Formats: sequence, C-alpha cells, structure tokens
Amino acid sequence: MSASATLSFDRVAVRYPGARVDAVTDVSFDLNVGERVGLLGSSGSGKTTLLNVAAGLVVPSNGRLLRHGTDLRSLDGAQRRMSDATVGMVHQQLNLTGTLRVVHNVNAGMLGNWSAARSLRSLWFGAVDQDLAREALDRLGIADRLHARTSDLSGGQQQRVAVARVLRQQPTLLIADEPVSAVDPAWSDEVLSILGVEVMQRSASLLVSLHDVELAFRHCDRLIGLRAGHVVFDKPTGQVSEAEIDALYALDRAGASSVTATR
Amino acid sequence: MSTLTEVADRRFDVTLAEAGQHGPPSSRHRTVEPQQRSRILAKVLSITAVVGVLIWTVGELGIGNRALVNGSGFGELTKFIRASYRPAISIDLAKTVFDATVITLAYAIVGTALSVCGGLAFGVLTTRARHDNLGLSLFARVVRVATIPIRGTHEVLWALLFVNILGINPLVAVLAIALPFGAVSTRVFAELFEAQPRGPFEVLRASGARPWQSFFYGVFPNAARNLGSYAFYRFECAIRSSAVLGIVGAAGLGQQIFLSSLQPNYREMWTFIWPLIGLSAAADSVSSMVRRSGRTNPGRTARLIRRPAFALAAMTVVASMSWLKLGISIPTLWSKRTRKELGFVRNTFLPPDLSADHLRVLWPAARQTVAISIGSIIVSLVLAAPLAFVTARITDATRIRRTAALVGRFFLLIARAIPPAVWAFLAVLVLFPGPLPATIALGLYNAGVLGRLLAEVIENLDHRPRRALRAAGARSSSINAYATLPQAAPSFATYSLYRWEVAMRETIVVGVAAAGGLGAHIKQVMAAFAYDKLAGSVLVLLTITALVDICSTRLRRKLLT
Repeated sequence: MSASATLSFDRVAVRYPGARVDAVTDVSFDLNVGERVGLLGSSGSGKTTLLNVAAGLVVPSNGRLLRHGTDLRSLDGAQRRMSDATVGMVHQQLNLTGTLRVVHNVNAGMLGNWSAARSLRSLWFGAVDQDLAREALDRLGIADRLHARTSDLSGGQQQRVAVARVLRQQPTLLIADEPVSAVDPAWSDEVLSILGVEVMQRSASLLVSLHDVELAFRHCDRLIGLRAGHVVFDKPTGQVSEAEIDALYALDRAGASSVTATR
Repeated sequence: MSTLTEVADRRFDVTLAEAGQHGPPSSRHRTVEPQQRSRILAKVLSITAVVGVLIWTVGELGIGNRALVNGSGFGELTKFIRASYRPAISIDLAKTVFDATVITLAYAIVGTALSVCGGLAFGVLTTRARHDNLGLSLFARVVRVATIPIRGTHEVLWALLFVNILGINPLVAVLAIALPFGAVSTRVFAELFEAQPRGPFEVLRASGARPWQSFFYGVFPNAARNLGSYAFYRFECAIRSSAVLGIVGAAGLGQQIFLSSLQPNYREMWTFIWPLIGLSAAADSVSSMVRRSGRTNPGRTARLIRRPAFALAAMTVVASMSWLKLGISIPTLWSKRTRKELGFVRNTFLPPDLSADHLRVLWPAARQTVAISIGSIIVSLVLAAPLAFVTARITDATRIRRTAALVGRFFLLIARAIPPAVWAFLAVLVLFPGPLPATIALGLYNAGVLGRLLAEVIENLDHRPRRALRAAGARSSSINAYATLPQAAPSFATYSLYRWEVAMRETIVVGVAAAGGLGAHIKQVMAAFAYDKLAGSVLVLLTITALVDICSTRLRRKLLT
C-alpha cells in the first residue's frame, strides 16, 4: 500500500445484492504511475467487477479502494467529482449519445471539469474547445468527422469517438473493459497502443481487462490472473509462465468436460 | 407515442423469449402440468371477464330495452350528407370562414406552445432520468400527483370554469388547452427521458459529470426527436380541442359549426366543417412527416424540420403572431373584476354537492359514462383494426391494395377530423338521444385516431417473418394470420387501452351533445345554474376517470409481463 500509487485495492470484496457468494474476494494490489496492468481470467472470474470498483461505479462491500492514497468514501460531493474526473473508462458498449454531433460526445469527457454555464453553452450555442476535440480525434484518424452526427458514423468510427472522449478527458487513470472489437481485430491492437502511448506521455496508468492473452502479453507491463473472484497471480508480464495461463483457464475446461462426462 | 411503441417492442421481445422456452411437447402422453392448468384457468377467467364486461356495457347502453332508431331522422341525415358536396358559399361567408380558421389555428398554436414549454420545464424537473438510480425527488412526487386532476379534467370543463372567472376572453380557450395539455406533456416528457438508454448517463457520471450535465449530454439529445414529434401530436389534438371549445363560446370554426347547427343550416355547417377537416389533415400530414424524419434517408423538408434551431425559431414566430392576433392580455388574470368573479365562483362552486340525494342521481349517470367509454372503444376497435391492415404502408403492395389503402386512409382522416360533438349531432339525427348515440359518435371519432396508430404499429413491425412467409409462397391472409397479427396483437391491445383512457375524458363532450351519461347531467345542472352540483359531478367524473386510468395501467402492465 503506497500513497503514491494511482490506485490501491486494499482487501476488496464485492457481494452483489441477493448473491450468495462474493463476486470478488480479498483483492489487494497497487497500480503505479506509468504502469499498464492487464486483468486476465475467464468469464465470470470478476474482471468487470474489479474495473467497476476502480471506476467508482461499484462500492466494495468489504475493504477499501484508494485513489492516490485517499479512500473514495471519505470524499464529499465536489471532491468526489474532482476525483472521478481523473478516471477515464472505455466501455465495451460505447455509450455514446447518438443524436449529438461528434464534437459534443468528445467534449462530454470534460463535463467533470466544466461549469454549468460552459457545458450548456457548448451544447446549445456552438461547441467550445473545438481544437482540442479535433486533436483527440486526429490521433484516432477521424478528425474530419468532428461535426458529423454520431449515429451517422460506422461502428468502427464510433469506437474511435468513444476513445477520443477519454483522450480529451486526459485522465490519470485509464480503465478499459474488453476494448476488443468483434468487427475489426486490428482495432484491439490499435486502441491498446494509443492508450499505452497516453500512459507513457502523461504519466497515467492503465487497467485493462482482456480475454485475449496474446494482446495482454503485447501491451501490458504486469498481469493479474483472476479465478472465481480470487487473485491467483500478480507479476510482471515477463515472469508469467504458459503453465500459469493454462492453469487460469484449465479449471473451467476440466469443469466443462466433467459435465459432459456425466451426461 | 413512442413510449407506447417501445412498450410494444418490449412486449415483442418477451413473446420471442417465451417462444424460445416452450419447445415442442416431448412425450405424447403428457399430463397437464400445474403451470399449464393455471394458464388455462387464467385464459378462461379473462374470457369470462371480457364477456361479462360486454354484457354489462350492452345493458347499460340500453340496447334491447327501448326504441333506439328514429326512423324519421334518416331523411335529415341524407340531407346533411348531400349538403357535404354543396357547402354554402358567399363572399361574406368566405371572410367569416377565413377569420374562424385563423382564430382556431391561433388558439391551437398558443395553447400548444404554452403547454409544450411548461411540459418541457416540468418534465425535465420531475423526470427520474436526471437522478442516479432513477430516484424521485419530493418536488417531483408533488408535481406528479398534482398533474393527475389537471390532465383528468377535459378542456371543455376547464373552459367552463375559466368563462365563469374571466368572462368572454381569449385567455379562456388558451388556458383551457394549455393546462391539461401541459400536465399531460409533463408526464409524457418525463417518461420519454426515462425510456432512453442509461449507458451514456452512467458513463458521464463516472467521469465526474454532475447529474444534470450527464442528463443534458447523455439523455436529452436522445429524447429530443421524440419530444418534437410528441409536441406535433399535441398540436394536432389542440386543433380539435380548439374547435370543440366553440361549444363553450370560444370563437372559431367550432363555434360557427355550432351556430349553424342550431338553425339547422346543413350547407352552412359544411362550409365550416371542410376547413376544419383541411386543418386536421394538414396537421396530420406534417405530424407524420416529422415522425418519419427520424428514419434513415429523410427528405429535404424533413431534414429542415429536424433542425432544432429552425423548429424553435418557427415556433416562436408563429406563437407570438397568434398571441397578438388573439389579443391576449395577461393582466386580466389579476384584475379587480377577475378577483371578484373568483370569489363568486368560490362561493357558488364550493362546497361541491356530494349529498346522498345528488349521489343517487350521479351513480347511474357515472355507470352509463363508463359504459359509453367501453362501448365506444369496442366500436373503434371493430372499425380500426381491419382498416389498419388495409392502410398500413407496406413495401410489397399491389395496385389494388394501394387504392384500398388510400380510400381507407381518407375514411380514417374524416373520422378523426370531424369533432366528436359533430359526430354526436349526426348520431342523434337517426338515434334517439341517450348513451347509444354518444357511444357511436365517440367510437367513430376514436376509430380515426386508433386506425392510424394501429397502422403505424404494423408499419414498425419486424418485416422479416412476413418476407420469409411470402418467399415460401404463403397467401396474404395467411401471412397476416401467421406473421403480422401475432406480433401486432399485444400492441393493438395496449393502444386500445390507452385510447380507452382518452375516450373516458371525451365522454363529457358527446354526453352533452347526445344526452348520455354524466355529460347530460352536467348540462342539466349547468342550465339550472346549480354550480355546487356541477362541482360534485365533476368530482365524480374525475374519480371514475382516475379509476379507469388505474384499471388501464394495470391491464397494460399485465400485458407486458
């Protein structure tokens, strides 16, 4: 537990209302400045729950979550907003507002820092900071779509807009939940590279959940293996062995085959 | 509107899910499982309930008890219909028609503008969509409860109240439209916001945006087009209301039709009915164009209309022009005379007469009113459901079908463009006054509205099953039976229930005109200046309106689960 860490999980457990077992149990790790950490594990192992805890969307039922050494629960409304404004999340569902022009969806990343007057002025009387929005889009190669209606864009372009929103936000913590596209496999590599550059240039940190082990090895400094809500390994990418990866997914395979056998 | 469409869509999803669950029977000697038995029981019970309600309605409407048809009236009806293609025309009349049309339109525009602005403000303030976990503030709760009696009271009753306070004044009709419409819009707008996907709101919240920032960036823009088409739908309704208020003395086409019907001068009546049909038709087509503008590949006009800046500017200009034309003076609201009249109204309307004697008279009238509303919706459904199949715009239409669709659409348009009061006037030409003509008048009018709604349901259905069956060589009737009807049935039921609520409010108008139910009673007590009895009757009407709303909401929810 170091106070300089971007994010610290301190014996975090989450149990959803009505569930009989914890979704994640006794998870402790630090995410340090400049680090890219990948969460691995099969479906239902608790990856998304951990990401949601990190984003402040899910409150731990046990343990603490610290951002820069501060427990989220000790913050009042305004402090909490300031803290949230430093966290940017890329979702699998893009959650863009389709009827808005692209520039507004990109600027929406700044709402946590913007005043009331500024956010409505931008929305209704012409977008402010268009240069910064264009710059973010430019890094994703779609600067020309700045004034297009978001719903008129193709699926791939919309994914880029969602990433541009996070870049525009300039967060110190980047969270990505399976940023892997079914449409375009190359996109997964591209978005992880862009986020990686962002982490390096701006001394941010990245926490990403991935199904694809290859991607994780290519883009992460450190890997955390999750199984049934428990951390089974947490080491630098170079030290993770193939056997450990196999073990991470093996239990499920064994479980699946035992079910087939009893039929 | 689109909330209902969404409701229908969800229902469709549920149907699909169910279809997936119940596979083919696995064994031939199947015992009836308890679950299946309870489903059969539920089916028997609901059929019994429907039949029971039908028998009760027929009894209440007095069908079979006494002479209903006034044989001597057919001559008059023929004369009236003949007059339709020979309306009275003269220079003087032309000027009156023009003025009346402008005034009717102006009332509708100002009424709609006020109600939409108010509805938007209160809708945003009271929607759950502005809060994390869709919470409801105390203020929102208070407003939501307060809107119930405001929207439950028909425009005509509001106009009666305001006429007593403000005298003959353009504000009467404006307020009579703006208040109930504003209350309905508040509710609908709030629900439209709640029907939008939550993802964008939650993402923005997580990145540190305040709730209302997240609302204006993540929810409002998605709902904007639905808000626009609902506002236009309100405008359509406002044109009809503005005409109906002629009964209470508001100037315009409605009043002119009413005055001509007193003589009666059929040809002159048509001189004013045709422009009203024209207005309705125009609003109708603009309204459906606005709704279609949401689809892909909108036309140039549709693209212009969907620009919010254009829409807002146009609305402001037109509304201010109408405001000036009507000569509305706001200070009238707090003038000395108004305060005096308000005191008079307070003394004469309050306390409402809810004595046992009065309730004994009100009880049968209230039952009759409910029967009129149910009967009318049955009439509407019988007419509208087949017409909806004929008039729905489908891509694979033959030339015969297209012609039939045109004729059907014209009938539906006429049905809803003629105000219920005029339909009632026609119905009492050939039927003796009472609940039956009121039912038929309301049923015809509602058939026009329901027919269009149901046609839109069919147009918005998933067309893949249809296409698959057509490709397999099925004939039209079997395609309807296997693909269209099963998908459409839940929405048909939902819309019919929703129109039942609206019909319940409209019973007051046809009741006054055709002498049935609470409307007839209200007309009597008004003629006797018994304002405490009037207030009592309105309270009873509000109560049964609220009961019908609850009933309909429950049934609709049941259809969804």
